[in-house]
Amino acid sequence: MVNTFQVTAILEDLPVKVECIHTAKKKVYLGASSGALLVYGISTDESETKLVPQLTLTEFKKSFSRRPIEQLCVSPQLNSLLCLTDGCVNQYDLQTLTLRSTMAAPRGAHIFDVTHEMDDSVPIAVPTTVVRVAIGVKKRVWILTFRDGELAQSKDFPVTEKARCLTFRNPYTLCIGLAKEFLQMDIMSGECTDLLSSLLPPPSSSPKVGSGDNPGYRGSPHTPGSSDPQSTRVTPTTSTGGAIGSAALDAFSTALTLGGAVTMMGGITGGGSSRPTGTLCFPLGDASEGRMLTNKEAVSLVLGGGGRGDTQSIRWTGIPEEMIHVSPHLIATLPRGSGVEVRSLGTGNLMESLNLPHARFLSNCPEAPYAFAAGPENVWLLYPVPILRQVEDLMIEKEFDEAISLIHQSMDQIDEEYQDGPDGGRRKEAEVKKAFAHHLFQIGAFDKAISLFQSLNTDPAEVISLLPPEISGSLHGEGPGSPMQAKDLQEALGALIRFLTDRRRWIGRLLRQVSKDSDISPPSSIDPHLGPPTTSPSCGASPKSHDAASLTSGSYVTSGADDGPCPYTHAQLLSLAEHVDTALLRAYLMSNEALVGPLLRVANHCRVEESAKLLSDRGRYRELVDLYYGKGHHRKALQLLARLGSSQDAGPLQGVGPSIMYFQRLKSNQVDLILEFSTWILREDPESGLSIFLDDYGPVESFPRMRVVEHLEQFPPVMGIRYLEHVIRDLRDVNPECHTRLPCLYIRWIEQEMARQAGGGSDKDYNPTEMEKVDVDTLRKTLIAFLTQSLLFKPARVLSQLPSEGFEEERAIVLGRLKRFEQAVYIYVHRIKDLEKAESFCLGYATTEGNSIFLTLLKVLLKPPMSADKEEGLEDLMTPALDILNRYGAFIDSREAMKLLPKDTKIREMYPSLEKYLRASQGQGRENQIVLSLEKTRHFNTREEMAMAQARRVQITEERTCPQCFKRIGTSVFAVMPDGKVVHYSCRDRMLQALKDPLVHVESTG
Amino acid sequence: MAPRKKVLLKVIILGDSGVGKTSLMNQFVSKKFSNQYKATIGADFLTKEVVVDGRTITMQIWDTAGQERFQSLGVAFYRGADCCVLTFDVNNAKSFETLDSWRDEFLVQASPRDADNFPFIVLGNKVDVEEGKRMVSQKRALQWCQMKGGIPFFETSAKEALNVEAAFQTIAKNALQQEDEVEMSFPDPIDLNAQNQRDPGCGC
Repeated sequence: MVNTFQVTAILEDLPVKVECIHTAKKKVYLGASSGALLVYGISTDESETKLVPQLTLTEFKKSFSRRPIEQLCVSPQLNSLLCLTDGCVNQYDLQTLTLRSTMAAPRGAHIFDVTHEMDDSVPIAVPTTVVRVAIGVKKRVWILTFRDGELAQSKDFPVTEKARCLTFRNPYTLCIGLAKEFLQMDIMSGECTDLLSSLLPPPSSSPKVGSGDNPGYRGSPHTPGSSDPQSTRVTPTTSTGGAIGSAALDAFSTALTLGGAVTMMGGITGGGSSRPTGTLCFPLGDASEGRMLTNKEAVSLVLGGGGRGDTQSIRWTGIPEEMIHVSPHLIATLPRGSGVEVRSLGTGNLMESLNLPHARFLSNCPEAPYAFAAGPENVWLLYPVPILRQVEDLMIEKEFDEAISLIHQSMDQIDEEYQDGPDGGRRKEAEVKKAFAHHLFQIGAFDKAISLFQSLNTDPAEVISLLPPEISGSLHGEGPGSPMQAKDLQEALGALIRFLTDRRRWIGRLLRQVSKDSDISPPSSIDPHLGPPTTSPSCGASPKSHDAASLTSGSYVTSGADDGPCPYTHAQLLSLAEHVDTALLRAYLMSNEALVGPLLRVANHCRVEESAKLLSDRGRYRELVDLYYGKGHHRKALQLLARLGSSQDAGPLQGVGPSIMYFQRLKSNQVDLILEFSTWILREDPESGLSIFLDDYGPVESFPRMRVVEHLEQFPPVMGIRYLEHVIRDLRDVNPECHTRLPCLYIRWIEQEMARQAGGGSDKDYNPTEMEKVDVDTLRKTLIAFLTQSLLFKPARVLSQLPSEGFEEERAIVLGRLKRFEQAVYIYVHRIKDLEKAESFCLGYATTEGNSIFLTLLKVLLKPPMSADKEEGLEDLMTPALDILNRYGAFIDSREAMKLLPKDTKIREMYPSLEKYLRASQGQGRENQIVLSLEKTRHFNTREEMAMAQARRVQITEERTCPQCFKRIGTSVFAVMPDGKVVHYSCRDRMLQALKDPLVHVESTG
Repeated sequence: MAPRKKVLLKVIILGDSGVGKTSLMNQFVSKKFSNQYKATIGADFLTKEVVVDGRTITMQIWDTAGQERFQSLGVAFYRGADCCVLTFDVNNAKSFETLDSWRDEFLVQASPRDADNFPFIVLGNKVDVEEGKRMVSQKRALQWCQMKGGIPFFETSAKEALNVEAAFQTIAKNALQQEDEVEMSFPDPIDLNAQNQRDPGCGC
C-alpha cells in the first residue's frame, strides 16, 4: 500500500444529497437529488507552496430542477451546461445558468456524452465548431449535431438494448456499453462494430491465437524463409504478448457473459440513481493514443494503443460504480459507497484504498492533476502525491515491479518533478531497477538479479562486490553480512559467470571503440582484446573483411550493442576489465575449475599478482604458467617451471619438458630468457637441454647463433660441438666464427679427454653422459676432416688454440691455410714423416698457389731449416726428393731446384725432371710467340678501323639541326655519332645515353 | 511410454577463416559444394533432421565467421550449444595451431558446467588436396585430440563429401548425449494436475 493521493475533505455536511459531480473551467458543479445545483469556484492560493485548491460557493440554485440531477457536463463550445434530469437533457447558459433549451430528443433519456471538433473541411470558410451530443433514450441513441451553437442535425439509431454507457472515442465514433458487449458506432452511418475486436492486436484477432501455441523456431509468420537470427528471436515476444492478452480477455469475457444479471442487481440496489453500474468505457490519456479502458463487472481491460502486448486486465474488489483515470492510476468507487480503490494502470495492483466514507462519485479536472470525489454530503479533494514519493514508498515496501511500472506510466511527470534534465524518468527507472536487482540478489533470485544488472549495464564492480570476499576480493563492500549458503553460492556463481562472460565482451567492444575514437594506435596493453593474436589472415582473407566485420555486429544484435558514445575512459575500461576478469577467475576457481585454463589462455585482463596468488594457493601451477605467459611475465613463469621442474615430488610440471615447451612458445627476442633458464636444464638433462637449440621448432632457428654458442661454451665442449655441428652441417651456416669455434671446441675436448686418460682415466667424479662417450681418435679424425673440408674457419685463431705438443696434422692443415707452407710441409716431412701426405698436401695447393709449393717441398726435403731435426731420421731424403723432382719436374723451376740439390747429384738422376722442365719451358716459349703474333694482327686491325673512322666527314649546313634538341647546329661545337648523326656537343651525353654507343669523332667547325 | 519430445541440437562450427566451415555445413545439409570462396558474415544456420539411435533429431548447425572471431555473437548464443565443431585445414598448419585458442575461447564464452566433458569434435578438412601439400599429419592431429581428452577426430573433404556424413553423425550422437545429461540434471517437474486426479471432487 502506497500513499497515492493526499485526501482533503474540502466540503462537508452539505445541505443537499449529491447525485453527481462535474468539474470544468475551474468550477465544480454538484447536482443534488433534490434537483439543486451547487457551483463552486476553484481557487489556488498562489502564496502557499502546496497549491492546494480551495472551493468557494459561487452559485446555489435550490430548485434548478424538480427531479434529481443525474448527470452534468459543461460544453464550453456551446457555452452551456448540459444537465440530465427528469429524462431530458437540458441546455443551460454557462454564466447565468438559465435554461436555454431542452435537447430535441424524446423523454426517457438516461445517459449522454458530448464531444466536439473543428470542421475546416470547407477550405475558404472560417472553421466551424461542431458539437455532438449523444443521448441514450431507451433502446435508441440520439445524435444531435450543433454547428456554431445551432442545432444542425438530429439522428437516431436503434440499439439492441438500453445503453449502459455512452462515450465518444473520437468525434466520429461513439462507444456503447451493453450488457454483454461493447459496440463502436460510426455516428455518420450508425453502423455498429464490436469494440473489443477492433482494439485487439492485429496478429491475434481471435483470443485463441497465441495462447501458448508457440510458433516454430523457424518459419514463423514473421520470418518466412529467412535465417536472420534476430527475427527468430522476436517470435517469442509476440506470442508472450498474445498470451497475456488472451488471459486477460478470458477473464473479461467471463465477466461479459455473466454480465447482465449481477449488474442489474447492482443497478437496482444502486439507490436513487437508475444508472446501471459495472459497464464502463472511456479513452485513456490522449484520444489520439487510442487506448481504451473497458470495464465489465469487476474486471477492467486496457486495450489498444497500437502497441502489442499492451493489454492489461485489472480486477477490482467490487464492481466499480464510477471510475476515473488520474495518470498513472485508476480510481474507482465500489458499490454503495463501500470504498474507493486506487489501482495502478500498469500492473492493475491495488495501490491504496482511500478512506472516503460513502463516496460514490468521481470527477477529474481536465486542466489540473487533482481530482474530486463526492459522497452524498461530502466532497473530497484528491491531490496526487508526487510520483517520486510513491516510488520511494514502493521501494521501501520492496514492491519494485510496481515502482518500475509506475515510472513507466509517468515518465513525463517524473521529468517535471525532477526539474533537472530531460531524462529524470529514465534515471529514476534505472535507479529503481538497480535497487530491485540488489533486492533480488539478496533474496536469492540470482538469475533474475543478474539479468537485470545486465540490462542496466550496471558497473560490473558493483555486482561483483555483492558476492562474498572469496569472489569479490578487494571489491568486497558492506555486502551481505552473513556468508552465503553453499547452494546459494553455487547458484550465485553460475549467474555471476554468465554476467561476467557477457560483460567481458561488452568491455572488449567498448575498448575497441575507445581506441578507435581516440585515433591513437592502440597501446599494446589492450592489444589482446583487439583481435585474437593467433587469427591468421593467410588463407583467403577477403579484402572486405573489415566491412564485413562491422556489418556483422550490426546484423546480429546482441545485448548492450549500443553504439552510443562510450561512457568510460580508456583507463576506466581497463580497470573494469581487470575487475571482471579477475572475478571471473575467482568464480571459475570456485565452481568450474576446468575453465580456469581457457580463461587464462585467451586474451584476458586478470590482475596478475592477485591471480597468481589465487592460483598458487590452490596449487594450480599449470594455469599459473598460462597466466604468466599471457601477461608476458616469462621470467616468473620460467622461474616457477624451474622450481617445479627440479623439485622431487612428481607433479604435472615436473622435469624439463614443461620448460622446453614454454621456450617453444617464446619469441626469438626472448633469447636471453631462454639462455638463462636453459642452464639448469642443460645441467639436469643435457640431451633435452640441447634439444632446445637443436629442434627446428619454435623461435630457436632464428636465434643469434653466436649467443647460443657462447652460452653453451660454459658447459662441456660436447654441447657446443653438437650445436655447431647442427648449425654447420644441417643449417649450412657460413659464419666464419662458427667454423672457427667448432675446431677450437674439438681441440678443447680432445685435450680434456687426453688429460683425463693421462691422469689414469679413473676420475671417480667423472661420469660421462651418453653423448660424451667417444674416443680421442674418432674425435681427431672428425677434427681433421672438418679442418680439411671447411674453408671458412680463421686459421690463425685455430692455430693459437692448438697446444704446442701434438696435433701435428691439424697444425699442418692450419698452417697451410695460413700459407705458411714451408712450416706445414716441414711438419709432414719431419714430424709426421709421411711423404705421401706431404705430397697430397702440395697437390692440394698446387692449383691455387702455383708451382712454388713443390719447390717448397723440395726445399724442406733437401735443406731442412732446423738442423736439430736433421740428425734424427733423415737417413735418405735424397731419393724421395729426386722422385718428386722427376714426377713434378714440369712444375718446378730447374734452376731453383738445382741450387737445392747437393753438388754431387748426378745429372742422370735428374734427367727426367730436366727433360720435363725443358720441354715445358720451350712449349711455353712457343705459345708466347703465337700470342704475340695474334696481338700484333689485332693491333693493325684496330688502327685500320680508326683510320676509317677518322676519314669520315659531315657537312654542316644552315639548315642542319641537332636531332636531340632540334635546334640548329650553326657554329656551335658539335659531335658526330657513330651512325653519322650530328648533335650539339652539349647534347652528346643525352644522345649517348639514348644510344649507349661509343663516340667516334668530335670536331669543331672552327 | 510417453513419446519423447522433439530434440533440437545446437551445433557450432568454429575455425580459422577459409578452412571450409561453410562448405562442410552445406555439404552435410544440402549435398552441395562450391569452389568459390565467400567469407561468412556474422553467423548463419541450417537445420537438418538426422536419426540417431532411432530418434529423429533436428540439428541446427551454426556456421560462424572465422575472420572476426566471436565479435558478432553474444555470449548467450554460445551458452546454448550442444556441441562445438573445431575445424582446420590439413594443408594449413596455422589453422591447426589456432585450434587451441578456438577451443579456449569457446569454453570461456560458453562456460559449460562440465567443461572437461563438453563434446568437441575436430574436423581436418580438405584432405582431397594432393598429399604433397599436406601440412598437418593425421598423427599430429590425433595427438592433439588425445591431449585434450580424447576428442573425436575426422579427416574430411567437403568437396568430395568424404567422411562428412560420418562426422556429423558423431556430432549428433555426442551432442545428444550432452543434451540428455543436461535434461537429467533437472528435478522432476511438478505436476499441477496431480492433485486434481487424486481428488475427483467433493462428491456431492
